[in-house]
Amino acid sequence: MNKFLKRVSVLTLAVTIGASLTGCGGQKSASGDNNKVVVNFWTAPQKVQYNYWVKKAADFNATNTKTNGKIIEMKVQQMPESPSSEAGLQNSIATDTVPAISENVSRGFAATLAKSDAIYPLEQEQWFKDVVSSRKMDKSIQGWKINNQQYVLPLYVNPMMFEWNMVALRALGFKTPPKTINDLKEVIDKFRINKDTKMKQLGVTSGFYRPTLLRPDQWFDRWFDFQMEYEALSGGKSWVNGDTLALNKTTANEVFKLFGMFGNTLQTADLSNIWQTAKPSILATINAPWDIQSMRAANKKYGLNGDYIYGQPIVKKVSDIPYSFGDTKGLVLYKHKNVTADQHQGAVEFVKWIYNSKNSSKTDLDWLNATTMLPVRGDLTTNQYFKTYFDKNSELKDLAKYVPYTIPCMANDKMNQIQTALTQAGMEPYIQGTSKLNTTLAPDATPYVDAAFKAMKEQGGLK
Amino acid sequence: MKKEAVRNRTNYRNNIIGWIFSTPYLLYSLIFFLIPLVWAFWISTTDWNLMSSSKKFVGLNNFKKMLSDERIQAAFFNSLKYLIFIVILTVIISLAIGLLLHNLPDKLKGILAVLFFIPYLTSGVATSVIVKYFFSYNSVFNQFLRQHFSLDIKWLQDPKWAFGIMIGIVIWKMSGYYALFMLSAIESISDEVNDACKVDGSTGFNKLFHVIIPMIMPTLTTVVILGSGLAFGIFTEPYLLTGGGPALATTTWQLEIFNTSFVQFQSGYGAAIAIVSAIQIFITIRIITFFMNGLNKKYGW
Repeated sequence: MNKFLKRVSVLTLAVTIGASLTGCGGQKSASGDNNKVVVNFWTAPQKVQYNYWVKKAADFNATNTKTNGKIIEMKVQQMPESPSSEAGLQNSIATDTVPAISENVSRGFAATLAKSDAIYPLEQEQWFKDVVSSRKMDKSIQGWKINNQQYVLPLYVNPMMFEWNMVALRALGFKTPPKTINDLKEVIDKFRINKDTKMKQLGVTSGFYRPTLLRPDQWFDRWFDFQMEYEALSGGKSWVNGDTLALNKTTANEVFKLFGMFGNTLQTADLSNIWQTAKPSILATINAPWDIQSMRAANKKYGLNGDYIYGQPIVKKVSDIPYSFGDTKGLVLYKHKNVTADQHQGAVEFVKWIYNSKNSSKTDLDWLNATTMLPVRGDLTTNQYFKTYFDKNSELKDLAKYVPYTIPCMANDKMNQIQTALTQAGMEPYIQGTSKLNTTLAPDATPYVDAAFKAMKEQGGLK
Repeated sequence: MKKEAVRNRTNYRNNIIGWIFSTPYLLYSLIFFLIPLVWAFWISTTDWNLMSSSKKFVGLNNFKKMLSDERIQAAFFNSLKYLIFIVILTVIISLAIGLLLHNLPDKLKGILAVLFFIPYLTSGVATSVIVKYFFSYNSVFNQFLRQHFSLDIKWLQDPKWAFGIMIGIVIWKMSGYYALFMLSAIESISDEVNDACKVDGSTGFNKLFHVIIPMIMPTLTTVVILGSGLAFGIFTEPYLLTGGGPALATTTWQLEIFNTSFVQFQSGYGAAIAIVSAIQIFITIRIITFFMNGLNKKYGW
């Protein structure tokens, strides 16, 4: 009996330990085949991006490109969104399952990765310089620097724009969306005058939809409203440089007042499917190309004579360049003990191949077709390769004009805290006050800007 | 002497069998509880973000930082608010559903019990998305309120309503599930007891408070403890609907741990928050268990 019990206990222990430890092993990237090097590539969690990269990897694998005498095999998988893609990447680094290369990394997250020495600097690499040259990115790449180094190869950019209800604008007597602060004031004033008449007939009840102006937890929305307008009104200046708060208080005051001008026409309650309904209940929102497909599905026509149109960020004078925030992400190469030199070089060869001078235009056009997000290229509007596409897609043609003037998010690993503080101490209390006012004469925002300035310095550890 | 040796051998054998059956649980606890707990405590004494190859030892600074962090204070007090509302309302509603099902004909009982159980199987994400649409400004419900009652409520922007909606979702989801516990306990009350009630004229609330509740006290204790644990684990609903706002009214420990560790990448601080929340959960559950044990004793359990 004792013998039996001992055997059972040993067996139980072995099975339990075995079962417990199954799955604890790290993901082996290297193939057992000595003539092959398997390179893991993680795509964004979205299916369209995954499909795009699977096709590109298959095309590349068919070229049998070699590194160090071994054939490179790109292996594509979607990055885990658990529950965000950044958290998924953080987890992969912590658990030694990080890929050699991934897309879907913003400048802000890249700053955190760079500070953690988890990604390679690219500035000095000749292949990186060649890609920048083939995509004519010399100017736009300057905005991607992190501590005077380049870590990210930007892939796509969504310039943030106002989205205007053209039916309502025409009913108010405007043929084009507003460009300057004075234009905007005129539009809001006319909206107020016609709110209970023309606008009511069209079902338009609010001037501007932006509930997240009152949501400090939605810190990332400050990219799309505050930063968009800060870039436009400051001439494309940074508001956080490394660990320095470079915010110009006068410009910040102007941005606050610009949103305050909407007064009680601002809609701060949650709406669903605003633009896809037969009669959108708002005059304007802030948007990017994310919902072009659903707008088409809802038979909404784009253009001055259509249902909606993208309008530039509001500037001071018509001649001012409408700089904007660019919702933009790119590729990074991970530095990790589990990523071998061959795998790193394999990832480099893949990037070199997709973006070499022969392939880069096709790569970017395929991207546009697959995702409707604009590639980061300096020649989008002049390269004949894209002409046919833009002739058929006037929404994206309009947006493409703004690509050279887009600025990515700040390169600071405390971006979340900084933007939360901006909303909590400044934007939210100011808008709480202005959203009750029945005037476009927005009150001075200096005390709110000062409070936000102080809070951002404290929360972000900024100088 | 011989008898004692036989008894010792039997005890030894029983001990071994006990260890064999306990081994899987002990190993599970060691691997998935004790080791992670020690690891979490170690991380909480560093400024590590789980990515950097270097980490700085900061001692107990992360714990000190919590004292002045308004988000942590909000999570602490909100967890107690969630606990009170969820436990009381869940127990009352699940008991009511249990009693309702108990009094239904056998043919209907099974079908309705399953129907009440379905919300428990529904994904928190799906529920939250539907709730978001339901309370959006242009929803049919809100249009009806505006047109017929001139009520314009910003449900998820108002701290009280937002908190109430969170509570409502959790109660809707869990009450049917706990009602099955209650039903099972109510059904186990013997016919003799029910007959005695009839003879003594004990019906309605009198029977509920003086017979049924005392008779199902162990099940009630289980539901109270499970409901308490539930109140500390809320994440999906505020994450998807309010982000913890407005004005931190709906934030929870889980949300703060997630945001600190995986959004702000302050994993050391996040681990410290997780440890403090675990201590609060442990102490609170111990107090509730103590209180419920007292009630059980009072009713002879």
